[in-house]
Amino acid sequence: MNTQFKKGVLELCALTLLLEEDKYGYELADMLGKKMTVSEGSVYPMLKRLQTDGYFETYLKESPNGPARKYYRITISGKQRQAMLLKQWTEFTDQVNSFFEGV
Amino acid sequence: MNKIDFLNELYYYLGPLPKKEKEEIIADFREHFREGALAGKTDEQICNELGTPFECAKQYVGDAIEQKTVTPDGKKKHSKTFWTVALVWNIVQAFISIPITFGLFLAGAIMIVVFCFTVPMVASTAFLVFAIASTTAVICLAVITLLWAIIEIKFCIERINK
Repeated sequence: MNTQFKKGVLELCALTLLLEEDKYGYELADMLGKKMTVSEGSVYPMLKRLQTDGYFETYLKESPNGPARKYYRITISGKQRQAMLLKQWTEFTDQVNSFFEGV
Repeated sequence: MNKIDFLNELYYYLGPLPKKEKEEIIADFREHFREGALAGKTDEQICNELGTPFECAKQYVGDAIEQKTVTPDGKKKHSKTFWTVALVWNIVQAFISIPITFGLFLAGAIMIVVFCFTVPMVASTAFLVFAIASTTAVICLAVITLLWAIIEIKFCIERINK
C-alpha cells in the first residue's frame, strides 16, 4: 500500500482506537501492527506527530506490574479530526466501491 | 538483533534531533520492549515487529537522514575534500615526527656512551639511569606517534571511501 495513503489511514485508526478509552503506546502499536500491515515501529512516530499537532495528550500512569506507562488521551480537536477523517474515508471508499458495483 | 542494539542504532539514526527529543523517543521504545517482554515476547520478536531502527528513525527525522547532512552527534558532516586534506596532513606529520623521534633517540644513545666514558663512576651511574630512562621514553613516544598516525590515516581513508 502507498505509504502516504497508509499514513492517513493509520492516523484514523489510532484516533478511533482512542475514542473509547485511553491507551498506552504498546497497546496501540500492538493493535495497529496486528490488524494493519504496518511495522509497529512506525506507530510511535505517528503518535508523536499527532501529539505535536494537539490531537493527543499524554500522561504517565502506574502499571500493576512495573514502571509507569505513557498513556495517550484524545483531545477535543483530536475527536474533530477523527470525525473529519472518517467522513473522508467513507466518502472515498463509497466512491471506489461504486466502480465495483457496476462490474 | 537485541534490545540494546536496536536502541543504540535508533539513537544513532535520530542523529540531528535535539538530545531531549531523542531521549523521549528512546524512552517510548524502551517502554515498548518492556511491555513486549511482559507479554512474553523475546527481544528478537519485538525487533521484527518494530521494523528496522533506520525506518523508525527516518519517520522522526524525515529528510535529514536521506540527505546524510548530519552525523550522529548533530555536527555537520565533513566533505571528502576535508578528509583528503586531513589524510595528507597526517602522512606529513608521520614523516616529520619519525626523524624527530629518531633524532632524540640517537641523542639519548650518544648521551649514554659519552657519560659512560667521560664522567667519574658515581656521577656516571646516575646519568646512565637518566639517559636510559629518557631514551626509553623517547622510543615509546616514537612508537605511539607512529601508531597514532597510522590509525588516523586509516580513519581518513575510510571516510574518503564512504
